Amino acid sequence: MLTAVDADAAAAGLAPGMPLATARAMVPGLAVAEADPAADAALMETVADWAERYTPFIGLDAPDGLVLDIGGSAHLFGGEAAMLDDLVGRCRRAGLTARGAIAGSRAAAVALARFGRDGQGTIVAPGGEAKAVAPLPVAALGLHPDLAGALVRLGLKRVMDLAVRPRGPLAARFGTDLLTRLDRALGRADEPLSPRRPLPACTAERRFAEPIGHEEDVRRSILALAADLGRILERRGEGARRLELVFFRTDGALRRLTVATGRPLRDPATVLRLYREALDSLADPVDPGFGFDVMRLSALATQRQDAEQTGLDARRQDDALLADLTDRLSARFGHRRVLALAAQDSHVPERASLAVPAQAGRAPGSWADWTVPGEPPVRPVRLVDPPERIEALAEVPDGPPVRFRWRRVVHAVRKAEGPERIAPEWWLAPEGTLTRDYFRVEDEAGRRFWLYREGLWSRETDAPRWFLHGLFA
Amino acid sequence: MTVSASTPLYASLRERIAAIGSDGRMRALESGGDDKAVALGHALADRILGGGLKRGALHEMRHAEPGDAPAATGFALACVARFGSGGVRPWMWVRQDLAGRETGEAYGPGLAALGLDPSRLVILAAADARDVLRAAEEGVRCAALAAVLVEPWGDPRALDLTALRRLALAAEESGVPVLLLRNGAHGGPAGAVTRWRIAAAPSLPLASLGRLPGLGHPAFAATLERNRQQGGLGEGGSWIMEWSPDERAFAPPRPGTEQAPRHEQTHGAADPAAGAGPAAPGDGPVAPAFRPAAGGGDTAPLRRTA
Repeated sequence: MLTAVDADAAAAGLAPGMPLATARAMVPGLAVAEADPAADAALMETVADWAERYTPFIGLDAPDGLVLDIGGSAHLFGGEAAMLDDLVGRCRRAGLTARGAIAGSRAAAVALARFGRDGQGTIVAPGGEAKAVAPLPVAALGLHPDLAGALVRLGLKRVMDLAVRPRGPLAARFGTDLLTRLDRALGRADEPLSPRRPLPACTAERRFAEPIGHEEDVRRSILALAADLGRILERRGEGARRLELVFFRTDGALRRLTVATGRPLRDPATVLRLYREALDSLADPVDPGFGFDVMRLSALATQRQDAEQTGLDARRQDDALLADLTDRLSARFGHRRVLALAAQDSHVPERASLAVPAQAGRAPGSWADWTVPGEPPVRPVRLVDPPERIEALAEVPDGPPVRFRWRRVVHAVRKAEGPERIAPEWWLAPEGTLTRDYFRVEDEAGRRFWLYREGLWSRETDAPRWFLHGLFA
Repeated sequence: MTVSASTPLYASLRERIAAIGSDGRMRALESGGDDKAVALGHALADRILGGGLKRGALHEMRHAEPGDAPAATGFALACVARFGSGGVRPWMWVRQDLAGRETGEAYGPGLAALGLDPSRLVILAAADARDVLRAAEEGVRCAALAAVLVEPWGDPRALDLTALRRLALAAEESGVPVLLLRNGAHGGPAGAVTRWRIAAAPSLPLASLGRLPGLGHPAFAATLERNRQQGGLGEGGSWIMEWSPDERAFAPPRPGTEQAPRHEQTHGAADPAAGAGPAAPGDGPVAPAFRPAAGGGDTAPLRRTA
């Protein structure tokens, strides 16, 4: 069965839905390609990415339509007509069949683009939707084919036929969905665009008459964009927590670069520094090709930021510098490599200290429990995780080891402290997790280790195993 | 007019010139003595160093034997705590992944127990030595940091004299001290102002309920191998240094309980002690008088109940 036909085939009388055998009989030598919905969808995604140069507010109208919210961006292209011409023209030059329309409601624009007489360049003045949509066939409302067929059989062929009917009987007979769609197409109601990507809180963009590619130009543009965005953010009393920079290449390729910050940010120089780190560290550098013609900087996530205060105290100044450093390092090395230790409320040693991305901010946990005045350190500075098996000779049932072998070296224990019994957290631990008896020990050379015996002798196990879990200073 | 090299004017000029960073800007001379050396607390070591470890400089810590890597870590962390002045200021630990795998990862409770503030720590987990150096340099340029602990692993090729000079220069410009922890290293360039060789030393035994005595405060057998600090005596030394987490300072071992370092003392440390006048008791080079830890409560009058 044919799923799509091109202009020549249509002229020869072929149409989608026709059995292939019939089509072959009508047009001998017909060139056929297997339908590939996945590839079609991928192509639509590419086109949608490309169309982001017109506006970041883009939704898909499956399977083969795009909806662009151009409120506020048409003037950048010299008006709506010029923008539509540019968009449709570029698509056609790329070998796509494209139709477009601009209207005040999404449903009206889709209906006109898909079913309008002239297909290209239909632009409906505000308030003119009802009149423009009226002569279209009812299928333009996006109805299920069965329902559209039923309406046509009743003589309700055009949108205007429905528009003049009393609403009550229509709803009773065909459901309220029909009325909703009718209202939307007529511009009496609108439906929100469901964007393909999360909508930025605010954006700044630059278009270049001459595509740019030099590093210095790109750098200056990022700074200018950051300044624009900074002004918008300042008006909103916000700072950015996540930023996205999109490079649009003249050949339609696009590259996104996202950076995150540990605190609200709107200082252009800092934004530029973050992006320089991020650009420097890319394994696959941003290739300008024949140049970028559009660059857009968006704040994907923002947070309240009050006006900069002067006269910060030393601690807050330190914190601000540290946050900058963390952001720069995260942009360069990745946020999983810039870590902070978070104190956890757990007595299981490996859970008591958690390394988390420093940008995420710290949990309020406290380390105060671990500083016992007058006491030598009760926990090692370095945790060997997972614990390493050792061979140990120890007194039964719960004495410290007398000697042990770790990484092929035998240590004779001269000092020992313990046992410190740590029971598994039964609400978390898997069945069969054993109690641990921890010992701090020092060998004849003065090296200090944190060892534990797994399993209570004779109660939990007959052959307890020994592990090394940490190293003391 | 000629100025004699010994006049106060000349000395003060030298001081001012020394305070000018290589970028031509004055470093904060009046910033509450940030440029000054930080005393370690061990009187003899501080005297030989000329007051303590300098900020804005590169200090290197090596282990005596591979098994002393945790001790070298502890000594470097102790120095960070000295530089941290109360633990309010943030600090950074740049470590290569391999170092974490070989000797364990930084452990918050243990850092807190040693007198550091884990909540002011930024850890950078670097994939290789090149990243270690890049991150370290970035960190050193951030004047908010109390200190940067830099821990590559082994003898990576990237860690050459040029790399060390860059780090040292960055430290000089910002005033942030760099502690280079060379765990797993055998050789390597000498670009540091001071270089220490650290071995673990038996701690002072504490009374314990068990058959064996308990562990005391962390003790290190520290050898100062290289001392190029301005104002220092230029010579080295070898001491047992005990770290007190409460005081966040080194203390000399108590009189009568000195312990010998396991490693041969490389320097005639008796000479500086003799030449520098009366030292505090127990301050000097220690006699090999390590008492084998005989168990029981008579070893030290410290409590032990659990």
